[in-house]
Amino acid sequence: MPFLLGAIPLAAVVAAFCVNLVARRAGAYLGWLSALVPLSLLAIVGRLSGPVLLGNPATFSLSWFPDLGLRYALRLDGLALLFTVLILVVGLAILIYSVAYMHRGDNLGRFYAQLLLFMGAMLGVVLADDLILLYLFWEVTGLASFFLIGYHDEERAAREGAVQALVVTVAGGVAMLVGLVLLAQAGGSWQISDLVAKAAVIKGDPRYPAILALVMAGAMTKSAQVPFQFWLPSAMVAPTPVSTYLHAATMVWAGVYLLARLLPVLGGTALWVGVVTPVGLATLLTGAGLAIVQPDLKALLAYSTIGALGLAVALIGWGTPAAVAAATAYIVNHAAFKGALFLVAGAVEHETGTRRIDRLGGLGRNMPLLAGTATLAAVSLAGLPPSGGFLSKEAVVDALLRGGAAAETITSGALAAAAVVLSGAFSLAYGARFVGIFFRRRDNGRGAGEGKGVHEPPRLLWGPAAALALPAIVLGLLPHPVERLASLVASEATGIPFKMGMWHGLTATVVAVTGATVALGLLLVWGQPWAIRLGALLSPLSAGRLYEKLYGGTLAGAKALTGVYMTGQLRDYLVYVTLTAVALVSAVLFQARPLALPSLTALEWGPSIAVLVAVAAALAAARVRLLLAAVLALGAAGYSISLVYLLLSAPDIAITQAVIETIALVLFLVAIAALAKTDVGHPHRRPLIHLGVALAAGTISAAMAYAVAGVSHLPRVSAEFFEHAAEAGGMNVVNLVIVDFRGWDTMGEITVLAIAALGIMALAPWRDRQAPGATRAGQVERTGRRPARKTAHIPPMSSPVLCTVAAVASPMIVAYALLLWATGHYGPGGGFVGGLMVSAALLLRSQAFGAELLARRWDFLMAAGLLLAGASEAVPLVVGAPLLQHTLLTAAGLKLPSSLIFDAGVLLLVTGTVMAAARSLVEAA
Amino acid sequence: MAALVSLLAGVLVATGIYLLLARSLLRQIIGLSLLSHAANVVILLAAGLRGGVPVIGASKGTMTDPLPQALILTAIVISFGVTAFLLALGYRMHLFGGEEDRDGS
Amino acid sequence: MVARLLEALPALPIVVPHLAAILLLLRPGRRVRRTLGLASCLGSLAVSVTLVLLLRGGRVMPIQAGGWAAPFGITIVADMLGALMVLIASLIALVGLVFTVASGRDDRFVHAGWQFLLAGINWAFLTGDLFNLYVAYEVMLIASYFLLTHGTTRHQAREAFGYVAINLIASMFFLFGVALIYSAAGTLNIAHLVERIPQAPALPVRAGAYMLLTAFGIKAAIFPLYFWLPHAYAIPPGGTAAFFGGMLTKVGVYSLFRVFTLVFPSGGPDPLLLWCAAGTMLFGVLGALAQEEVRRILSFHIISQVGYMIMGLALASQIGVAGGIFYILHHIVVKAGLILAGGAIEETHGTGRLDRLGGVARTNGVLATVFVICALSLAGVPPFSGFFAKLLLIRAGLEAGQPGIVAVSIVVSILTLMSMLKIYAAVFWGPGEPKRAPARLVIPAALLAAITVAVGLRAQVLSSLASTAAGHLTTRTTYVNAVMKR
Repeated sequence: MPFLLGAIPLAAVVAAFCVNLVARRAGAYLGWLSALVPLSLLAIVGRLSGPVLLGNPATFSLSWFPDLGLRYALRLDGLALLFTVLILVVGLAILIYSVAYMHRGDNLGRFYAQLLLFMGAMLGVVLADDLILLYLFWEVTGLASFFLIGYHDEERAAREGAVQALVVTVAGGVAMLVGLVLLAQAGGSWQISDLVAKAAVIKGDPRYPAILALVMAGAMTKSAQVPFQFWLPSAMVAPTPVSTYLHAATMVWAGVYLLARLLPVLGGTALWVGVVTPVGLATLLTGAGLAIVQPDLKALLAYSTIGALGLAVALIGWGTPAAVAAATAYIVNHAAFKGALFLVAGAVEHETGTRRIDRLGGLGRNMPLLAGTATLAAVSLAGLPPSGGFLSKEAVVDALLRGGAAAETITSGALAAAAVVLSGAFSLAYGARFVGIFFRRRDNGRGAGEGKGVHEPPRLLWGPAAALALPAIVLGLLPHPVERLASLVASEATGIPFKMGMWHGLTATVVAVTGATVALGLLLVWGQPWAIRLGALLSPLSAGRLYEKLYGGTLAGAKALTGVYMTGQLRDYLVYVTLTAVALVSAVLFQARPLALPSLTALEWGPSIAVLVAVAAALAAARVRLLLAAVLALGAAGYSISLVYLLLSAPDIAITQAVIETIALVLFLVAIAALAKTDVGHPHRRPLIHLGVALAAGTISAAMAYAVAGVSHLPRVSAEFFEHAAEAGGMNVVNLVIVDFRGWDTMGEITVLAIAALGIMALAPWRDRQAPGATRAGQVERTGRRPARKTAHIPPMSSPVLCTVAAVASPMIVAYALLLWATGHYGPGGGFVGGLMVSAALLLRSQAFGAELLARRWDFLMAAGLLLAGASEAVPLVVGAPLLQHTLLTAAGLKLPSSLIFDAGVLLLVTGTVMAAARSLVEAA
Repeated sequence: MAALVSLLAGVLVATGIYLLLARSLLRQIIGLSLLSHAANVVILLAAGLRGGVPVIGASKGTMTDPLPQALILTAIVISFGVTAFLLALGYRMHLFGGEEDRDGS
Repeated sequence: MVARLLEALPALPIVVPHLAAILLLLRPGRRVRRTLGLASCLGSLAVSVTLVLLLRGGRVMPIQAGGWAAPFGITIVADMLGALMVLIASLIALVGLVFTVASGRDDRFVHAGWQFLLAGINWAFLTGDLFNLYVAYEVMLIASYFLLTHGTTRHQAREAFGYVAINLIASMFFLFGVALIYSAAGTLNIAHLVERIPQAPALPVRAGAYMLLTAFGIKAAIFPLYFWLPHAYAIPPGGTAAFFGGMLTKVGVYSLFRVFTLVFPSGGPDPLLLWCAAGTMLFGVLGALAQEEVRRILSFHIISQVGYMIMGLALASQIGVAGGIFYILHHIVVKAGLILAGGAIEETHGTGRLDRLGGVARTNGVLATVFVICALSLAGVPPFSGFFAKLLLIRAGLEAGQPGIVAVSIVVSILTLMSMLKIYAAVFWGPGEPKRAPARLVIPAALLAAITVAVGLRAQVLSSLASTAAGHLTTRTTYVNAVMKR
């Protein structure tokens, strides 16, 4: 039946979703419906368990993530069976209990779904044979726990408890994940069953201490070991069924389970015993000690659970078959009595509305059945005969006194046993305190239970509690099933066949241990008021406070740090960025050999003068106070750079640069008209720092540019351009590169222009919103007539002279532009410059003859230009040539390169862009 | 010649960065324009400064590398588009009212 | 004809949105506008899915534009990395646009800008030429400037100006880098550069590499160049923010992956990049912890998460790079999902401030689930895609003998979880009278959450695609031979 095994965790997860879906319709029956899930899974496990109990584990394996070698591998052996049964039985009790406990008004669909999701994930943890699968389910249990703790999310304590629990367990979890990855790397497999065979190799691996430490971190956080125990009491804000199930009986035991699971892989070394056992014992004493001072029933039980977890960890650390068997027996018994006590606490709260021990008393009179249940469970908790708790504690002491895996640990075994006895005394004391609420008068007069309204809780509340409390006693009288399972688990975990017998008769040890426990316990009951005072004094030292400090400190530190450098000032960010680049490049330059000094003889007069003028203009732009002067200096720099291009054999750039500089200058001047007033007198906040940064950047850039100019011996790809020029149908290679060889660059370039124009158009209409009196664009369209636009920044100069000039000059300019476009392949020019000229002509006309020309839909021309350019790329595709293929079209005896069409698109686009942008600017002004 | 053009590139970067760190929006845009000139000049240097106009038949002897020139042309146009957009953006910010010092002070 | 079209397939993710954008310039009506925009995103998505399927066997599909063979003309190349990035970009563009349409924030400018942006992004992913990459960047950036400033307040316009200024500086560095590399290697074609760089003089090559690192690093928002991001991404409405937050920085990350594996391989774990990765992760997440507003928190997490991607790149092994690519793809989905979920809350409540919201889960169960899934995935909690992304990186880090960066990544993932829980506890839990977000605003984020769940369930599928992509980057010969037609 491997298939059934594979389905176990998934069935619960799927059921969770179904429950959520039918929540509305099922109404009150939802809890019963959910209870069917553990019930049917128990049946499946029952069917599978036969061979397992004989030592033949059931397995199931599917390929999951082959790149990493991960498998969806499940394995049901003795240890897994122990936990599976616990999860299902306690789960069943909890779900039935919830039917009565949870209120109708609550979001029950979510509640049951999360419980079932948890159940599925927890089953996954204990069944997984793949390390990563185990980790995956492990974290899902934490998530379910997060949501269940935060069930009453309006309460601050619930939110904080939920967050705390998740942060602590996930923090440990990811550490564990790293440990598991290292473990898999050391052992060469993700499958735990494979790793067992490689145990010797793994223990000898240099990574072994790291693996142990990291895995331990995961187990310690999940199982609330000192110093991570604090999250568990905070989690008690969850509804009681949740506390019972997750935080007493199952989830918190995942860490213990993991250690037991990895015992055959990692255990048995001195390091293992030396780390795991002390942690467990420290937790045992801390938990048990703090439990007696708690004012709240659930907090008391939570600390008691911490102690129990510590005991189990200590035993697994001890690592002998007897210790593991004792741990197993203890886990079973603990689930029974602790589960029962939690359910009793919930029932008490349900009936009286409080869990505070000092407000409760004398409840036994009105709820005898519940009192009886609590007493049975408490007897087991205190380890008194004839309960299962008694037997398992005797087994623990016995195992510890028998010595550890390493022979020299006899004395430490005695010490450990003493710690167990002491903790037993503590449990007797707080167990007595717990049942005191039924049998003792309240400290100040009447107990809440003596009031009229309090009565026995409904059957569904005490029934599940009793169902768990009874085995707590019965297992003491009939220990055989537990012995059998514990023997199996111990043999599997240690590889040594082991047969457990819990009752050795009334030996001296048994008498001594029980006697000491009872005597010490009674002493503690008597000394409790002092203990409570002592606890209050010590509370500021608690790990919980430490966590809060760490959490708050992290947030405060993050705020402080971020506040320092995230100033919100663009210029600060620019300084950081510039300095980073400077640092990187100077690191390269300093490694270079000293640069050869430039030879002055190589200078040519013309370009040199142009360069120097550009340098002077740039310096002036940075230096001058007056904004207008800065703009003019920028223009001067642009023109002289254009001259540099011209003199250095780059006429195409020179022309384009000059034309663009002119348009840019106009734009700057327009902007100045609006912005100059707002220019601040002191342009720099920190002039020296900024000057320093600027100089550093300039120096490095100059050095870099000089160091690399023409140093390479490699041939340039562009050499081939000259050879292909005829093929492409032209002589001006730069133009050919733009419209043909690297046409995609140009396509991108004109797209940028179009988007810029679109952006300017999109910015323009905001003015309508800003000035309430202004005409809205919508109104204009409705009336059908467009009111004359004000053209404020370009003064209306419709003089006859201008009209004449415009009328004569504009066609000539357009004609020249077209000529530039047509001959771009042969000499400097091309569609881009042509388009700029056409738009200049159109702007001139609009100045002379009014703005109507400007008001046309120039964005359509933009689109047309882009389309045309694009189409010239796509046409060759359709006729069967590669994309953007150069094709020579023969028309009227003339050979026309198709790239000319592309360039025509550029011309149209540039014209449209400039006009559309100009229109928007004029409208805005 | 390369040394002098490198100097020009350095001066353009220095002045560009300096202006970009200024408090006035328009000066910052001027700075950006100078920086885009700087990038173009560096590309020109990469071409090597020797050689004639790269038009077949226009000059005797070796022709200069046409590819960087084409790159510069593209870069010029792109930075022009961005500058125009930035000016419009600045204009719009101005019309919202207030000065455009980025201190917010 | 069909064969021709199939050959032209790698160009279609650029051409389709570009054409749609041009048509959107013609001021169509609202109906046509929406249909055109969504159809274009869907078309681009369909093409990219086809591309991924075609390239699964390890093929690389080049187009020599204009028939000019590489390295002479511009080559458009679809390799697995490019195809995957185009796929994810188309998906996020689609989902983001659906949200924008659903929130009624789509005027004609937004639609046109959106398609131009998608065209630019896809272009960057598919070009095989360094300067053409610059051009693609500029198309993308100006479209992003435009979308960012559209319909903003004055304060927002200022933040946008900062974004533009920083990006222009980055563009200058990019051009410096192009100039240096061209002068050293004499070519711009990436495949050709792979062959030429080892022979080229070291000084300009290294200087050029650092210039490109700075330029791409600014766009990718890595340490210490990320400062612009939290300001800029706080501006636009949810749909646009998801597109930006998901995709834009990833174009920078993509470029780093493309260039610093193929062109400048490091041969082993790269200390500089490792430091960048660690700094990015840590400072990003600490910044997130300092914020009190949903969008700002999410913005800082973009930075922090980029650190993980760079970690994969810095490890330089094939599994490291594959982990990084997996991380990129996962992160884009999850981050966009989170921003859209946050956007749905902002649109409904008019604020994203933690102290003004509360109890949202009570009335928005689905939205809360969606947010939680994405948030946990972001923090790398199983069983979602983020866990496998993290696992791949941890494994690669440990195998490369770099426990330091693994430790940082672990600490950061815990801090990430803290920060996500801070949002969840403040916004979705607690007292408050939340409104119900309409389903049309929740569906886009829910779709992305479903993807992260699906990837979590079958991580193998994405992992094998990512490792094919990484194979092209680290072994290099397939890519070079395909482009250079050998």
